[in-house]
Amino acid sequence: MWAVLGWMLAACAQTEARFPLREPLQRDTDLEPVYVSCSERPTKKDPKHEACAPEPYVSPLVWDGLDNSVFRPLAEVLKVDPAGPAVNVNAIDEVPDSAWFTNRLGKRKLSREELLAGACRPEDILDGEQATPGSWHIDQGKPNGASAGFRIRVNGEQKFMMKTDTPLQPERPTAASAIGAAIYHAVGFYTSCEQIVYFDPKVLFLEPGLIVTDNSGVPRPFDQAALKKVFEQAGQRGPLLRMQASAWLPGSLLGPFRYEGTRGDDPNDIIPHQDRRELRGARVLAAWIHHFDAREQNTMDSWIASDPERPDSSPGHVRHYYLDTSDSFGSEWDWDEISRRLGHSYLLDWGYLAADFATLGLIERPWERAQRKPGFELFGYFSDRDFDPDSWRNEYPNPAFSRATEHDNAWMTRILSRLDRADIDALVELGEFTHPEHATYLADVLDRRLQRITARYFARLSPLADPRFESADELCLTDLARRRGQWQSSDFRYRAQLWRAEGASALAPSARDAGRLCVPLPHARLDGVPADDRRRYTIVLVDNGQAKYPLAVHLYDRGAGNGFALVGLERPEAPFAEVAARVGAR
Amino acid sequence: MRSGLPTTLSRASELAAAGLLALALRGAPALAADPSPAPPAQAPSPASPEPAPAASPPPARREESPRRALPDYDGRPAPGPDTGDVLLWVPRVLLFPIYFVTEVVIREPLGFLIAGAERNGWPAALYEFFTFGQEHQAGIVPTAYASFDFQPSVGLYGFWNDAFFKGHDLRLRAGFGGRQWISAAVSERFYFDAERSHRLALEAALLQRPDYTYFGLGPDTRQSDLSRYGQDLLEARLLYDQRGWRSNFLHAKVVLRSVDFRTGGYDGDPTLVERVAQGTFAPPPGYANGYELLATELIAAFDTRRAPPASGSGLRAGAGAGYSFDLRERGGFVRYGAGVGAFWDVNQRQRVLSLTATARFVDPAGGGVIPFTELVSLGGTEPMRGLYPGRLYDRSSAVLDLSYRWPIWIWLDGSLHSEFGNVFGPHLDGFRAGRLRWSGALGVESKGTPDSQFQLLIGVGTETFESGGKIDSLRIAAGATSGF
Repeated sequence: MWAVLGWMLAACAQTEARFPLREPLQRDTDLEPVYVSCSERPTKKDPKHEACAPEPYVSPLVWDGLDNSVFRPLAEVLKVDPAGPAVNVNAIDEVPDSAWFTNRLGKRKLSREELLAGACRPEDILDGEQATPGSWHIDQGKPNGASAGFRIRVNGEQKFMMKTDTPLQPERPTAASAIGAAIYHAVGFYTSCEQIVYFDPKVLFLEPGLIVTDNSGVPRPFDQAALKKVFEQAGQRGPLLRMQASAWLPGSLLGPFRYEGTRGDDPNDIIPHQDRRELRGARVLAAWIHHFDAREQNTMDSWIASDPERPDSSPGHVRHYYLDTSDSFGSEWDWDEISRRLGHSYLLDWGYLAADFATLGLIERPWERAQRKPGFELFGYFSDRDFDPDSWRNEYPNPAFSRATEHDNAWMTRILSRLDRADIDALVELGEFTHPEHATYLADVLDRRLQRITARYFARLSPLADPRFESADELCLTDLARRRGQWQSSDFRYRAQLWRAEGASALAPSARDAGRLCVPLPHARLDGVPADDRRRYTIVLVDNGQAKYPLAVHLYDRGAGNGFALVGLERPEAPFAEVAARVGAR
Repeated sequence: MRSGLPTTLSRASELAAAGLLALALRGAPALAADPSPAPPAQAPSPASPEPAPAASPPPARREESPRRALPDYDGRPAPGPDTGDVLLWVPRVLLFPIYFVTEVVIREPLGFLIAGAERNGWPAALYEFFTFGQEHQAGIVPTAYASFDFQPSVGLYGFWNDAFFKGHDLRLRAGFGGRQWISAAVSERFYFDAERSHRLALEAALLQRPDYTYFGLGPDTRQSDLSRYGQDLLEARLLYDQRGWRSNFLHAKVVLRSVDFRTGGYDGDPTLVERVAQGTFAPPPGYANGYELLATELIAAFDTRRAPPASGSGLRAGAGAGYSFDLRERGGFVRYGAGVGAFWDVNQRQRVLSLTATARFVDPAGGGVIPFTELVSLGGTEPMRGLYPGRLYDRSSAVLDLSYRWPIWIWLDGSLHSEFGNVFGPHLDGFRAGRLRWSGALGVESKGTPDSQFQLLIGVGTETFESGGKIDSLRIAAGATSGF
C-alpha cells in the first residue's frame, strides 16, 4: 500500500526534461541493411534455393477480420492499455525518414510533376496507344478480387498487374487506385506505381496454357474466353480499353505487414506497429479519401537486398508499402445497408449496436441520411455531408488507427493541409475521368473533406509548423491554418512569450503572407557559458488565437551573432497560461 | 521466423514486464509458432512474393544481425509514469484473470486454428462446399435454436435459388434436438414474374418433439400447471401468395395434416397424462386419437406500408378464414379472424411504433371435436410473445399489441412488444378487461428473409389481472427460427 502510494507520489513529481543540444533525428536506423538467417526456400526453378530474407507472411483474411472485430478490441479493454504517445517521433514532433515513411509533402512543396508521378519512374509509364501489337505478354490471370484482370510482362522484364473497373461504378476503382497511390506517395508512404492505361487489345499477347487457381483452390484455364470476360468488364474509350496498371514492387515480397506487433524476423522492426506515428496518422488520410479497406491485406513488405541481383539475400532491409486504394471515393458493397454505413461504422460495430439497442434507436445515424448524388452515382455515398474526421471508421478496427492520438491525427493533418486546391485538381487528373464534371465533383468533395479535417485537427493542437530562422535572430513559423484559409485572417491573433532561466518576456510576432509568422528573439548575455548550459535554454511559446493550445519551440541561445539552435518543438495539450506556468516552474 | 499470431510475443512480453504470471505465459510463444511457413497461396498480384531468379548463386551466409537498438528519437529521457499510469494498475490487476482466460484460452488457440486453417485453404473450401452453383445461389447454413425450458436443437438450412430454371427456388430444413426431437421440411417455389410477387409453393414438413407444453384450456390457466406432451406432425401444403400495391397481399393455402400425440416429457416436468391423472385438467380434445385434416385458408390484407428504406408508416387491415375437415372424425371447423393496425414511423427511418388489434375464432362446423392444437393459441411465436408456446388455448382470442421496432444493425432490428390479451370461449364469450393478461418482450430480430430468422428475445407474461396480474412466466429464446 505504502509502496504504491510512494510510487504514485514519485510519479506525480516527474518533471519534463529539456531537449539536448543536437540536431533533431531526421533519418531512422531501420534503413540500415541487416542480416537475417538463411533457410531453404525452394522455388519452381530451383528446388534447393536458399533465401536469406525474412519469411513470407500469409495474411489470414477471415481471422484478421474476426480478431479485429471481436477478440482484439475485447483484449484491449481487458488489458487496460490506453494509447500513449507514438514512439517514432523526433524532437520537432515529426517522424524521421524510415523504412515506412519518407517526408515529402511535409517537408516541402511538391511540384505538379512530382505529385502526378507518385511512385512511378519514367520507365514505369505504359503507353498503351503507342505500344507495338503483341508486346504486352499476359503471363498470369487474376483469379480473385472485386475486379477482373491479368498480369502482363513488358519488354520481357517489367511486370504489371492489370485490373478493370467494376460495372456498377465505372472509372471509380481505377481512378481511386491511381489517385490514392499518388496521394499516399506524396504524403510520404511507400506505394506501388499505379496508372490508368488506355490500350488497343491488340497490344496483348496471351501466353498459351495459362491456369489460374482462385481462393477455393479450383484451377481454371485463363484463355481467350476468360480474357474476353475481362474485356467485357473494362471501360472503353473508342476502340481503346481502360484498365489500371500496377507496377510490380521491387525486392523480394514478404506479404502484408501487420498493424499490430512487430516482425520477429526483421532485426530492424522493433517498434510495435500500432505505436508508429505514420500508421496511426494514416487514419486521417484514409478518412479523407474514404479508404475504408485500410487493413493489412492492402499492405506489403518487401525485402530490399543490398545486392539487387540477389533479391532474397542478406544484407538488406524490409520496406513497408501501402497497396490498393481502389475502394476509395465511394466503393460500394453488394448490400446497400453496408455501403451506406461505410466510413461511419465498422461492419460489426459493438458500440453503435449496443447504443442503438439501448436507446431504442433514438439517435439518428448519418448512414440513414446517406444519399447518392444524381449523375455522380459512380461515387456511391462518398461526400462531405456528415463527414466527421474524428468518428470516421474503416471496415473493421485497425490496431494502429484505434490508437491514434490527437497528436498523430494532427501530424497527418499538417501534412495534408499543404495540399491546396490546385494540387487536388492535379491529383484528380490522374483518374482520367471521361466526364470532366466527375473530376470536378471529386475534387470538390476532397477539398471540402480536407476542410473538415483541418477544421477539426487545427482547432486544438497548434497548427504552427516549420520552425526556421529566416535571419539569425528571427524565428519564423508557418501557420498552416491561416495559409489554408481555415478561418478569416482577422481571426488570427498571435501572441508569443520567451522563457529562459531568468524569466519570461513578451515577444512581438508579426503575421506575414502565406501563413508566415515571424518573431524576433533577443539574446541573453551568456559570455563564457558552455554551449549546452541550461542558461542558454530558451523556450518560445506562440499561439494563433484560434487553436486551443500553443506551440512551444525549444532553442539554445548561441549568443549575439551566432543565432539560435532549434532543438525541440512541442504541442502541449494545455492552454497558453498553463503551459507558461509549467515552463516557469522548470 | 515470423509469428503466426504475431501479437503474442509482444503481448506476452508486456505481461512479463508487468511481472504478472510471467511463468504462466511461457507457453504463449510456442502457440505463436507459424504453422504454415509455406509461401503465400493467394492470387498473383503485386502482393505476391516473387521467387528469386533460379540461376543466382547462394547468398553469402553471415550471422543474423541483433535487433537494432531503439533510437533516441527526441533526445530526452522517457518520462516516468504519472498518476494516471499508476492508477491504471488497479483495473489491470483486477481484470487480469479475465484477460488471461480470453487471451490464452480463447483468442490465441482460436487464432492459431483459424489462421492455420486459412493458410491451408479450409475456409474457401468450406465456402465452396456450403455455397455452390455458378453465383453461389445454393448453399447450406448451419442453424441452432434454444428456448429456455425447451429442448435446444441444431440443424441445417439449405437454399437453392433459380434451381434448374429461373424463378424456381428450393428450400430445405432439417433439425435435430435429441431424443424424439426431429424436424425436416422442404419447400419448392415457383415465381411467375421477375419481381417475384406471385408465388406458388409446394411444401412438406415433418416435426416430432417431446417437449410441447400444455396448461389447460381457457383464459384462467396457470403457469404452475405446466405439463409436457409429445407430438408427431406430418404435413403437406400447397400455397399461393400474391403481393400487390405497397404491402397488400393475398395468401391462400391447402393443407393436409396428420397429427399424433404421445406422452413425451422434458426436464422432469409432469406429463400431460400425469396432470390429467392428478385431475389438474381434463384430457384435451383430440389428444387421445390425434387427427388428420384437410384445411383451407385464405388471408387478405390491405396494407399501405412501403418497403424499406421508405417510411414504415401506414395502416393495415386484414382478415382471413378457412375450413378444416377432420378426416378421421369426419367433423369440421371453421377458423376466421381479423386484425387492424396503425404503424407510425416516428422519424421516417424505420423506427416504427405500432398499435394492432387482432381477434381470432374457431367454430365447429359439421360436428366432431376441434383438436386442441387447432384451437386459437397464444404465446410463443404467436401473439403474447412473453408467454410459453401453447400457454393459452381456447375458441377465440383478442390481443392488443403496442410495439416498437427499430434498426440496430445492418441485419438486425430491436423489438419491443407490450401486449394485452387472452383466449376466451366461443365468440369471445367471457371477455372482460379483468380477464386480460399482459405480455412484454424485448428482443433482437433479423431483417430480410422470413425463411430463417434470427431471434434473441426475453419476455415475461402475467396471470390475468383479476388474479393479481403477477408475472408468472419468463421466456428466453435465441437462435434461428423457421419460417416454413
